[in-house]
Amino acid sequence: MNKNPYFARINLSASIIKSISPLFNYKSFKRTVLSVTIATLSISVNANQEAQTIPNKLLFGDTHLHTSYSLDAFLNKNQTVDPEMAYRWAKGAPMVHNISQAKIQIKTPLDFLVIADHAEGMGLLDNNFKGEVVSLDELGFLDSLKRWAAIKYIEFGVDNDMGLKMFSRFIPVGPENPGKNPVQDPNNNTDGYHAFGENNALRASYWNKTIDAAERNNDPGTFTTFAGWEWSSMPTGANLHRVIFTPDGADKTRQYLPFGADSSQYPEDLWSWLEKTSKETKSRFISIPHNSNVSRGFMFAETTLRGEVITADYAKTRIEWEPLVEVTQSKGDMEARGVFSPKDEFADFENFYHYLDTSGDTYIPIKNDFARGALTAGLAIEEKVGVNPFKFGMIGSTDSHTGYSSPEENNYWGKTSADSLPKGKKLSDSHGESPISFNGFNMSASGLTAVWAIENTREDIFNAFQRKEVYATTGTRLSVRVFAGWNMDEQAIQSNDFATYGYKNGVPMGGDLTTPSLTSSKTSPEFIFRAVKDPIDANLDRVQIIKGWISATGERHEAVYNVAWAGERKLDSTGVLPAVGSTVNLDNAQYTNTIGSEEIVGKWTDPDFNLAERAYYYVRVLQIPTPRNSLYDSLATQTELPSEGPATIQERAYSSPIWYTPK
Amino acid sequence: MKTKAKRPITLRKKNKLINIITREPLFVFLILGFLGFIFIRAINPDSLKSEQPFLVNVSEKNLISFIQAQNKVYKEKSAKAYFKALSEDEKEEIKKRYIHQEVLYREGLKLGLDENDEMIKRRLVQKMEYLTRGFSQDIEAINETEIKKYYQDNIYLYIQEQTVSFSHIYFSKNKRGLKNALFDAQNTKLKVREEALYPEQAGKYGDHFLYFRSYINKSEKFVASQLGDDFSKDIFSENKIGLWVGPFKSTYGYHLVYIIKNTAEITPPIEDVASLILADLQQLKVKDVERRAINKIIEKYEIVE
Repeated sequence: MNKNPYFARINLSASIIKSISPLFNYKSFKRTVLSVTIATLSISVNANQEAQTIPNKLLFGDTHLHTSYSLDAFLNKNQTVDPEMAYRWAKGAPMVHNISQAKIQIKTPLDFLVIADHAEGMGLLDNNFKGEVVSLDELGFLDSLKRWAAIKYIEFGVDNDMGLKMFSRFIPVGPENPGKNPVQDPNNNTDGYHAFGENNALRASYWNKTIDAAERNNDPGTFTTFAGWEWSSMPTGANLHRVIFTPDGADKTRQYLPFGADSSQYPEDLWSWLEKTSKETKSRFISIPHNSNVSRGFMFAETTLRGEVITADYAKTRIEWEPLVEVTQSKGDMEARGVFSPKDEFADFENFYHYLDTSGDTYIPIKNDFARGALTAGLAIEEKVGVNPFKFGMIGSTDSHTGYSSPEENNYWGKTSADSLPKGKKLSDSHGESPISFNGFNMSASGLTAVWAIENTREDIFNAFQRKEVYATTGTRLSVRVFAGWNMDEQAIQSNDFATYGYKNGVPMGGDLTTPSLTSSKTSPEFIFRAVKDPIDANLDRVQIIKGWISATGERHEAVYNVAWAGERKLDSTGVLPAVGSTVNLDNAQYTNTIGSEEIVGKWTDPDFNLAERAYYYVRVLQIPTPRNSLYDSLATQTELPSEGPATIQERAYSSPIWYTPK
Repeated sequence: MKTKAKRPITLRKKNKLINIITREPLFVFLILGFLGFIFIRAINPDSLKSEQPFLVNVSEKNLISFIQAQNKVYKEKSAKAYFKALSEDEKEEIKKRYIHQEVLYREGLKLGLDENDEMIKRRLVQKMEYLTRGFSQDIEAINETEIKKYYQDNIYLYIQEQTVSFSHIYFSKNKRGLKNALFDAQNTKLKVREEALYPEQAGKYGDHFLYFRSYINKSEKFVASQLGDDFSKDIFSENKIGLWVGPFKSTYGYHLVYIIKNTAEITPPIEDVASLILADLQQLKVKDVERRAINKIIEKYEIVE
């Protein structure tokens, strides 16, 4: 190992020049460099190198998109928008919409996309629709009869506009023993997975098609694709779904088949599979939980799914595979609920209050089912076992089943193809027998994943995910950057190399703050941050820092601080900032950027810091109010505003946290 | 002896009964009718309702389905348990509500109130539309001529727009004033050309810009959304590549620009997009089968002014 930094720089510069000019005499050049121009070359190359090693590219993408290959997407009328079409849309090409036949186009193309179709029954209906191109596995007489009946049943449903009703047959029955291990519950019926047999040939065929489309559309530097899938475990309606994706190419992805909940409904088994497969094929994976809001308390429970105590081993395995959580998407926002955060006036954003099972039970929110509760629970578990299983960064994605990733309220093509048009959004109401008590108007066009990367490549984006230098937005492309340290200069924020300063003197989002060095005179962490509006969206209202911590007595706390804002507003004595107001005209769904600000920057020092207490901090940025998709729809159809959601919303972003761990 | 004498009598009686039954068609019909009634009732009890327009059956089963629909309790078990737990008064109340709904619904149908109801109409139309939608067997194979024609008619769907990749050094009009921003930009241009500054080193000079410092393969529309229409137009028509050029004026001030790449609009040859066209055409055909099926139905009707 060579520890001399100068030597390393020279080697680097030399190798760059060597690669540029094959005729160049490398050996004599190296000598010359050593003897003469060490200083100049190393400085210029070093500057160049630095620019390339600082993650200064902000990329926006969706890590959770379904296409016609997903069984439920097909049942909900997406019969044609496959991965190839999904990529075309995401890259910004005009398309003909599969239901309305209108010409549609995304407003701002995405920078990356993970297509994550359900592993269970992948491609089954698409294959059948196209005349059984891939033949299904041979089964015994009785099982093949069962499968034939199941397929005919679904076909009949699709043919007779009963897809949604059919879909409901796949929705689990609620628990007999709420709170107990749902996999063991007598009501946990996994027949839905097994009605069609194993069909590995079919899964292989559709997995290969998914890989092919990803390889064809990956364009390093411009647009990045990842192969992925969804593990859809939902025992008795406890949603434990995870999206799994990999930065590896076809040489690796073709060596395995997506692991589905038909193999196991326990996340521990998923992690073992990831462990085993990554060793066998040298692949890398990230598993991202979503919709903890409908997990009935199981996603971030403080025991395992089987009800066992969380050990250091469990915590380590979990956080190794699951460094991120999808906290906002069309089926609700999972940052915070007002009932657990009564002092947070912006909690209760796009609440989703419908279980995904047939119980019809009234929805009861559970604290750990929301990111803030889970992050704080993670600190408490860390205090006990030494490892934090919930030390996750935060991202958003659409979970759209249309093949069109459209997190834009004014260009929203629905959660499913069935609710892509205003008239379809009320569909579930007209299916009186469907157990689904929500419809298209319960959804908002959320969310997106923002990534601070060096380049738009699989490698760089995946690395950013691993170091949690990512954040969630509810669909807006607002930019947010934060650095925390013990001695941060406010002047740096306005400088051109804010980021360079930030990395040198602090840690970015997703990072860890350790206790200050003895030489530091400061005993409270300082945060410098910069938030900029989406160029084609609304101005910003305010920046807040949210802190969660565990006191010496083990109590859990949280606080929301307004740290910078637009306009001449003043905090009241309790720290509350007056509302920014609204410019939305409810008669024509127009708004103006006459309030709010294009950019909000600042520095904040934690006023209530205690060196001995574990804590996390994340930044929340709010936009000024803008119209929700339901307002656009009600004006377009000249009907009353649907009661399922408000007319306007304040789009927002949640940074990944920065954690403070005492010595 | 007694037993011997009795036996023939019973046999004879039975035979006589069978004789009457088999020979008398009325009995046969009565029995078949009764069996049929039991059978229909067993498989589809509702079908008999229409025969008895003034009969409302408040059986427990009907009341439980009523509760399920009303309370959105879909688990039959819980609905049953819920019903069983009700007091007699509450059960009476549910019975009343059920009768109210059933009777008014049927009276409404009798009066033909469903006939001109917009909501009911729309729902039925929607159902019909889906009934007419074809499956793969109804969709004709797509031939080459069709693909060619679709390519010609809808070329705009497949054109890859012109894109540019560039970095920029920004001089803020708010910070420096418009005149000074221009002046500083012009001076800096000489400096960066002399220095042969790399595009990724753009951050060395100028002010911090709201959005990005470099843009990779972006469309004119995208650049315009961040820097304004005029700036975007200027950059897209600039043909000096690999050199610091400008200053260009934007909504925010002046910019020195280093264009890394300028990729002209590409109209892909048909063979490159044939598979995309095929997929698009298939999608259209599904819709077409539905449209034709509906037209066929409409043809059966005479339309008068």
